[in-house]
Amino acid sequence: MNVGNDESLRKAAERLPRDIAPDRDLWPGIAARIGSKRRSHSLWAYGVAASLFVAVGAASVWFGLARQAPGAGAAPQLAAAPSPEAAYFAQRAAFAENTVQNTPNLAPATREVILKNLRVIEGSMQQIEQALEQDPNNPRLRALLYDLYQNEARLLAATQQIQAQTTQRNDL
Amino acid sequence: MHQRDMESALAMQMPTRNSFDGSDENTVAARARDGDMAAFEQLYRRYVGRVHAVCLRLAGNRTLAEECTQDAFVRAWESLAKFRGDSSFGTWVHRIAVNTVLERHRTQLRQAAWISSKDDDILESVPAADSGPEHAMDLDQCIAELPAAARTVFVLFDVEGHTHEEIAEMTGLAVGTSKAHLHRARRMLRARLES
Amino acid sequence: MKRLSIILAYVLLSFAAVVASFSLLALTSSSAYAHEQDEDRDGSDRNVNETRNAKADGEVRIDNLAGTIKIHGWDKNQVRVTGTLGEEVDHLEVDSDDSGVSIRVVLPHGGRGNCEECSADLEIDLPQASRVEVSTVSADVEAKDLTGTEQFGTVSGNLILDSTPVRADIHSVSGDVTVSGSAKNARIIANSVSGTVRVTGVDGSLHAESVSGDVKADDNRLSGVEMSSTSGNLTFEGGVLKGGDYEFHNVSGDIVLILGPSPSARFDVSSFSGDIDNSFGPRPTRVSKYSPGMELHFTNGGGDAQVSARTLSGDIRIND
Repeated sequence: MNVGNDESLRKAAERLPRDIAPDRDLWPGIAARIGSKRRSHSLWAYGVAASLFVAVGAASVWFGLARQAPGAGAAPQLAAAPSPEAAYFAQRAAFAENTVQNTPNLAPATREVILKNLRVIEGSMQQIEQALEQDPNNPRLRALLYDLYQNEARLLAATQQIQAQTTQRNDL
Repeated sequence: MHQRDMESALAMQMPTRNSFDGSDENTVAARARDGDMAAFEQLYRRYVGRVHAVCLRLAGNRTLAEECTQDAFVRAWESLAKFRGDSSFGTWVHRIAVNTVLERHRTQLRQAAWISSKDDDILESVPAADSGPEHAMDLDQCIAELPAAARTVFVLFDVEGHTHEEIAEMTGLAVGTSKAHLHRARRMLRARLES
Repeated sequence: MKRLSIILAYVLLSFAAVVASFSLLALTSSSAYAHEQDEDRDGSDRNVNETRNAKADGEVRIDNLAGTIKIHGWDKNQVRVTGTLGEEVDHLEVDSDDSGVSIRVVLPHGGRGNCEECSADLEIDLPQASRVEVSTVSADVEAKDLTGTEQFGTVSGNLILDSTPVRADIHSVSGDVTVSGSAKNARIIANSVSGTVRVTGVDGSLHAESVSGDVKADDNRLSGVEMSSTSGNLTFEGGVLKGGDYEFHNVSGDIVLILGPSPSARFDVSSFSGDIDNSFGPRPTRVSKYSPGMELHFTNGGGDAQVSARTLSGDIRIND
């Protein structure tokens, strides 16, 4: 190799291969590391949780309003029969609580606060549902229930955001 | 041991780039940015050789190069939101790789603080203990044996084509210092290769 | 013998050189930018002093896990970082490129966030119109004299924004958030999970929430408000503007509205099981005979704004 001067040395350097594959496939290691911290824009996390619960809540409000037919008195009251929503609400409450319990990166104190407030919301929802069973066409009750859906959605979205924030931190 | 590492690495250069099954790179990058790991893997497959090559030359050691390559792609995944698509993904992740290697070495710097410029003068005057005439022509081998600062600047300047201003920004060296390291690297390389 | 020992030393040094030897980078750095990272070999705290040129309204990203972050907007087109790094901090990385300036406290590879000495106390002067983005876990953050857009994320660190931003997005988990001041027609978002949120001196629109902490807004000039809590108390003290929209939602916490003499607004107030106490307007009525709660809907003055306040079990007080 003629490297008698800087120019020819530089030319030799430029001819060096630019693509050198590693001896082994590094993708599994990379995938394992990024898989454990799926990137979620805070907006995305907020959006998913919030729209899921608000959509469900909206469907419930629509369902309730649909029962409130115009021309009052035409639709008979659904008396003490258990509301079709009740089973769903119980299920959803369990789901929300499990989500928080299973979010890994929450500090214990934070998890406590979130669960405690989740239970405040759930408790209020039960009370409203009981009132709605007696008074299903009441728009004020429906509006309060809808507020609770939003409040819960925000709580769960905040939980997801903490998860995302803390996961990034652990790599520092 | 070292020579074998470099040779086997050089033997595995990728001759061609993978295609993206019809999508252009910006589309794939956008999908990766939205969290699509399969799309990110496509980008990885296309650029891993390039990233690994620069890591290998800067680190001079295959194990470190593999770690830096992995770190670079993980960091690229984490910062994908910041990738605007105004340069190619390859250029962008290449830059991340260089930063990753430089950063890592700063850590080891703390532990290897006993290596000083005085010792580098000793290195200059003595031919490499494990090199012989059959290795004399191997440029990559000689680059790997340079003292680290000289190697860094030589790789970034003569191999990767950065300017001294860019090197100064990336490494924190003054432009003048970068030029001095380059001059030294070239002198040492020429001395070794011509012997 | 001397030559042999030199060769031996070389062999050892060349192995080490292959692995790690960027000593010259530190020893010989003396660039046009003031750039020093002093380091005591005995491992005590280290000082930093770095400056980079920056655009007047460029991005500045600051990442410091723990310690303190004090930001100050100035009129130079430069970013200057001074302060000290804790013993376990690897280094301070200050990068500047076309996308902006990034200041990152870097811990050793694999370092965990609960170490004692991985904090850094940083003071950062930057162009006041910068777009600032701060991310921390437990550092307390103080930001003064900023006029651009700000984004802050903390976990347990407290945040004080004493500036005139056009836009601020603040999220904390257990830290307290205090905002005092904004530009005209600013848009402020201030959220915490269990910390308190306190907002004063803002002109524009406000979204403030805390799950269990109290949220308080007073002495602002707001045309749009959304305040929300689950078990904390919401307090709003201020006037309502013509065409303004003011929403207050709570579950078990209270809502207190102090709106000044004759607020001109349509009021939509209800509580499922709490009390409503208003010092103007009609008396509240029951929401439903199946719930103990109260509701109140009326128009005061010209009805030029919309005020909605709803709780589940908390009380609502509306005073002038």
